[in-house]
Amino acid sequence: MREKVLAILKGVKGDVDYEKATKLIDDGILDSFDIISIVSDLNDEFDIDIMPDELEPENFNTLDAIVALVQSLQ
Amino acid sequence: MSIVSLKFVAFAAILVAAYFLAPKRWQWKILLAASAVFYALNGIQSILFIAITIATQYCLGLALEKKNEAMAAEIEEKKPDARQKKEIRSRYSSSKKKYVVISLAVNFGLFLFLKYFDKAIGKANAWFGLGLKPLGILVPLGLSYYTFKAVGYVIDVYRGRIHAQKNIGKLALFVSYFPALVQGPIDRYEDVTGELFAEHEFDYRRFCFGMQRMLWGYMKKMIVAERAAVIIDMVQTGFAAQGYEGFTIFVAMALTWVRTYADFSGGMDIVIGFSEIFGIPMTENFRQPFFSKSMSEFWQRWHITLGAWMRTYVFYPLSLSSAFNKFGKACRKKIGDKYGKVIAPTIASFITFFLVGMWHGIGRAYLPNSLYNAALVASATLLEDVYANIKKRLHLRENSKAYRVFQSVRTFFLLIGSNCLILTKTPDMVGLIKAMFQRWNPWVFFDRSLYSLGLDQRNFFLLLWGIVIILFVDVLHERGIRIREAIARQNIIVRWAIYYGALFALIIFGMYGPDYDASSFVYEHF
Repeated sequence: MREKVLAILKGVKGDVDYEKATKLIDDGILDSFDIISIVSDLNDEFDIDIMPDELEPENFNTLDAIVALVQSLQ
Repeated sequence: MSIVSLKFVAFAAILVAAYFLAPKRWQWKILLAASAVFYALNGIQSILFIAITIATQYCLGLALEKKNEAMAAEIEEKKPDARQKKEIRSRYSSSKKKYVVISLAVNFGLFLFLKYFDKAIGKANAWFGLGLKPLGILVPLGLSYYTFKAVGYVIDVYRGRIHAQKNIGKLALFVSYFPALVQGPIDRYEDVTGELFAEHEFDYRRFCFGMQRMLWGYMKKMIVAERAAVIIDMVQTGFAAQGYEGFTIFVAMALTWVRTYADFSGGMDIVIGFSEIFGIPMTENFRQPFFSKSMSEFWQRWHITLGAWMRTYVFYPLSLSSAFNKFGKACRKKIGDKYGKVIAPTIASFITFFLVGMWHGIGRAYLPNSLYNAALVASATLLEDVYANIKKRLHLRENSKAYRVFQSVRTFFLLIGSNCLILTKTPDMVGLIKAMFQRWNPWVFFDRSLYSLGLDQRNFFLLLWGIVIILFVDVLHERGIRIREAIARQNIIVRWAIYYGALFALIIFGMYGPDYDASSFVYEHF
């Protein structure tokens, strides 16, 4: 699943080292448009419903956090 | 009471003494009392309105908390699987939603009423000759800041992100904490309340840091912003009579952003520094905005707390709503993934920018301005390929310093464009913008005519030096250098030389005095 999430992230914004980045949101690497694209891709790929209240920096700052969010919703 | 006044300095000194001399368990109550006094001094009738907001949000918060507890108990008891859990959640959330609707209706109803009722009556009278009497409403201090904070609080309880505050006094302090009432920041409950209600020892280092930051804020406001304001006013009010054209007007336009930044971020430095003395960190509102590479980045660095509020409570919920979701999917199907997926968020972003515009004030200029901003933000994604192509053809290296500078300057020009749009709300100002474009007169930079715009040569250079210093400090911050810590590492002589230098600069070059009325902050009126 981690690979699938990574592929989605790369698809939305390619030139980022997602394995190393720890502040994807806090450092403004991903903007709100990117987040919406990522969320809609994640929703389709994993058949989940990410809610607005889950769109908080702590859920999107790292690849691990995003994976954990997806897992918690499955 | 303006925070740029000796009265405020005295008020602040008494408060700091009271806060640290009183028993620690009184500390938050002292801040609440000080906020009430500060508020009363700025218009005692306004206390009624902020009290309505506090009482409403207090009750709604508790009601939502009860529902959250019931939901948690049901989940605990039934041990449901993921699908059942979702079903329980959605059942509760539809019954919880009505509290959020009440919160929005009461608070934004009050907000619109207080801000626009008298204006609407004035308009109705002008259009239809009705002769209605306006109510003479005095817009409460910090109305839009505390309203947004309070509304965010209830939504966060609704989402189960925070627990409702059971002590109404503490909630009242969160909503009315006076340093944030002048012009924000729009703090989020979870970010500040830990320290706001905590007990604090006096800390000399924190005290020095807070004082330094306040001093820096006063310097930005009184040395730079007030001087820039002189030129802006002179050009805007006198351009027709004085025949200002071309670059003279352009200088005033560019200074408008300089002034707003020095004024707004200076005000933030004052209140955040002041709050730091108590040990209560407030949310930062600026992150070197003029180094933004794009408009989208600018809105993440300028008035950060308003942007974050809009993103969290408007843009995301709207973009993820089922209507937008369906629309987005249809777009992707029709015109392909790449462009299709940008259309729905673009519309959501337009609506968000429009609300940001309304937050500033209702006027016809805000519709084109929100379109302008949303279009610029969306164009970065939509025209990605085109830009990449241009860069390739021109052999531009994205990581080169020159290109980064070009991007920042480009953003600044786009901001001036946005300024022009806002100014067109007054018919006179259309003339101003025309006059700016109809003449090419670069010689104004050399023939001393810029010294005739209200600031003589000495004052004009002071303004320029002020701008250079602000930029220099921003460069240091951008490179991650912590200036106050660097100062703290110096020996005592250097340290005090810096303090005295700053203080004397403020006393000598600050614009104030018995016959000078320091203008209020630009963002105080929102």
